[in-house]
Amino acid sequence: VSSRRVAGSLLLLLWIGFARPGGAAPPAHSLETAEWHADSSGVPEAPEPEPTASEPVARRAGAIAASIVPGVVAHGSGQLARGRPRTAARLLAAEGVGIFLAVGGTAALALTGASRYTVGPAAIIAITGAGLFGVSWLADVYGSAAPDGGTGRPPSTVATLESELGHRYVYDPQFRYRHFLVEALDLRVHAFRFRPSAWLSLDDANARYRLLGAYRFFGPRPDRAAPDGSFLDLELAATEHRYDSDGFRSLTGEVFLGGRLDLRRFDRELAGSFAELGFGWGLQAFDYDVPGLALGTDTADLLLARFAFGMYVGDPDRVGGEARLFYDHRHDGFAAGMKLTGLGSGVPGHFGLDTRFFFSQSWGASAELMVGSAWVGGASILFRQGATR
Amino acid sequence: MKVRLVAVAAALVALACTRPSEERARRDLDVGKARAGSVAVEVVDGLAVVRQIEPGKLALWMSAPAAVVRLEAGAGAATSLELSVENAMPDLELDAPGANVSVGKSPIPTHKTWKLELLAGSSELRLSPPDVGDRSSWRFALMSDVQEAVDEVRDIYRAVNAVSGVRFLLGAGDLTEQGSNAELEFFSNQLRTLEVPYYTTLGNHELGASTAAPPYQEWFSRASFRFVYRGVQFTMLDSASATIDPLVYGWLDRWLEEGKNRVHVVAMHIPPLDPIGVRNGAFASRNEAAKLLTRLANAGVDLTLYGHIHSYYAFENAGIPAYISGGGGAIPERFDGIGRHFLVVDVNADRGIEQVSVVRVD
Repeated sequence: VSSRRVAGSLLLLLWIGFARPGGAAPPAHSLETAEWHADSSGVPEAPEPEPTASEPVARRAGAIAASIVPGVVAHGSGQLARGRPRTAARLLAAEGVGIFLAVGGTAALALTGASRYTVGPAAIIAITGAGLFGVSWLADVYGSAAPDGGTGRPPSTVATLESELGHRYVYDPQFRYRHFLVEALDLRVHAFRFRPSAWLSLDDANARYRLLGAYRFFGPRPDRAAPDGSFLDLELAATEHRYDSDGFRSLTGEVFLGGRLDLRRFDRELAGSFAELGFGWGLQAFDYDVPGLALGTDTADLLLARFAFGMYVGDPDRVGGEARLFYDHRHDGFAAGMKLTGLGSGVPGHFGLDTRFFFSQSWGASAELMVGSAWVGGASILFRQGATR
Repeated sequence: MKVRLVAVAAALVALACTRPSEERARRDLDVGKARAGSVAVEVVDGLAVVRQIEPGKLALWMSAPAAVVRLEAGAGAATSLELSVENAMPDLELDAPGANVSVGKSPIPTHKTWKLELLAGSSELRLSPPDVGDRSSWRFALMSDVQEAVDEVRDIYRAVNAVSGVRFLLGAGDLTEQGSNAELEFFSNQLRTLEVPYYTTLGNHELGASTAAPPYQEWFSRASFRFVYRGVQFTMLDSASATIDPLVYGWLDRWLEEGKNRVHVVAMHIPPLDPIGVRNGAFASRNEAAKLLTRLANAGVDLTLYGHIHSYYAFENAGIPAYISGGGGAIPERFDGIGRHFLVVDVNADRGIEQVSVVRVD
């Protein structure tokens, strides 16, 4: 069964062009459906490939096109073109809720003049709406392009120990640094997680140290399998970012509640994809190193908000991984906020794309690209140990 | 799928312009320069906008109390010149060595006119008020964020006119709603009821649909510039895109060095840090904000003035007194009890900032 799962996953990978340059799809009749039940007890079974009637290539291509136009406006168009009216209706409804929240939150911001007393809740509502809008559209595109059963399966457990070593290139026209060595360690014990990490500049006196601690209310753990990849985490983190060559440093403390929902729970046709949403609050303190002057500390609080759409690829517990497209409202960090001109100047955070893939039980790689005030991109080698499967 | 991922990545990259104000910074260098036929005009440091130039006529809009205008008249050029200067100090004087000058009259206090008979070749005209070198105490006002309330802005001008001793009104951007030529012209005409000049930089609303080349610079001033009046240096920075272009940082380093031995006031539209950080009506990058504030603190800047947030805040950034005053009439921040207002700043070249007061208009 295991080899069939891997073979099935690889076939799916090949179909979407991840594993083979050019991305040429095999004939539709070679595809197999994958089916599994999120509500099954214990360790869930991987999607079981089942034969299915071939789907005309033209219909699939039409669905993908429809998910773009008019799908970018009417979410679910791709699913409708693929003969899934129920999924289409759900995505359209999600889009409607997203627009309602986004417009409502934005209107609240405008009507209150972004009042200091209401800006937090109003921004959260607007960002949630934007997230729902974006996720429902990307889910339609995914559902139109992905093979039956999805592109991969969610992880049922997570490794006890995962380490990362990589390189990041940061292009920020305001700073001299460009190259960073990135190191991180991810240690999980039961529902707890500890993640110390460091970004060390190779060409400037700049370094960022971060310690994150988290508690997982539910979801995959090293010692307990979960029915799917959905989770809810509460995170606490402290970050020191030293800009020694620029004469200042910042210290940030934050709390963040974030989770992931496997979209198969939303609609089975979206199996293999997931959405993330989280909010938090941080307090950032700046210290300035000005010779001869004791300037004190400036503090500024920080709205943390993040949403993402992602997809599993293969079997993340063995050979496979995931990719995410995300929005992060942070204005600190290397990417910071986007430099949009006009009315939105300074407000939005940054977008990013990240992916991680394990080639074996232990070794993998990750890559990321973020675009905000700076372009941040790079890759890491991953090593994990202690997964229960 | 790879193609799709590349397309998504390309779209993200296109969205993330890291130097949105670069073109505006480059256009700053053209402000104050113009040519008509064989006559060339250059306002030193771009401290006035050339609004009209044609044979025998030159119209300027001052963006600082004093300016030096260099004229280069080629062979055959008219030597008589009608000089019109708007947004001028009411007591602005013209010094044109070697030229015959006759003073015109205007019902508008900030509009000055002269007729000159120039010598052929190069000429240098010096425009300045008589008190430009005075080191005694004086005051200026600050008003920002008028936007859609431009029809009612005369209320504020009347209130400014009523405050004694104000030599000019400083602006930290968002004069208009969209920054169109029509809006800028209307704002310019409204200023005729203000009895002192209005020196300003632009805000994010001036960017409108043409963020790279907004018409603002053809109407009012450079986006980033500095001037000195009565021993106090004023540095105006273009932060309308929630960042300052590296080109401007290069100029700023020089201006900060010049201002180290003076009382130094720095004004810009979007503040580096918002006192309400959750809102982030501030620079897109807090790292850049901290870097800028470190520079200002290192140079001993005495006062920072901002707009963008439609309320009033008094705070410190990097130990420098800071004020946000966005009370020009744009949609106000609710529940703050502030409303339309402007600031009056008392300053002395030797003693520094003496007092900052809020004047409520409503």
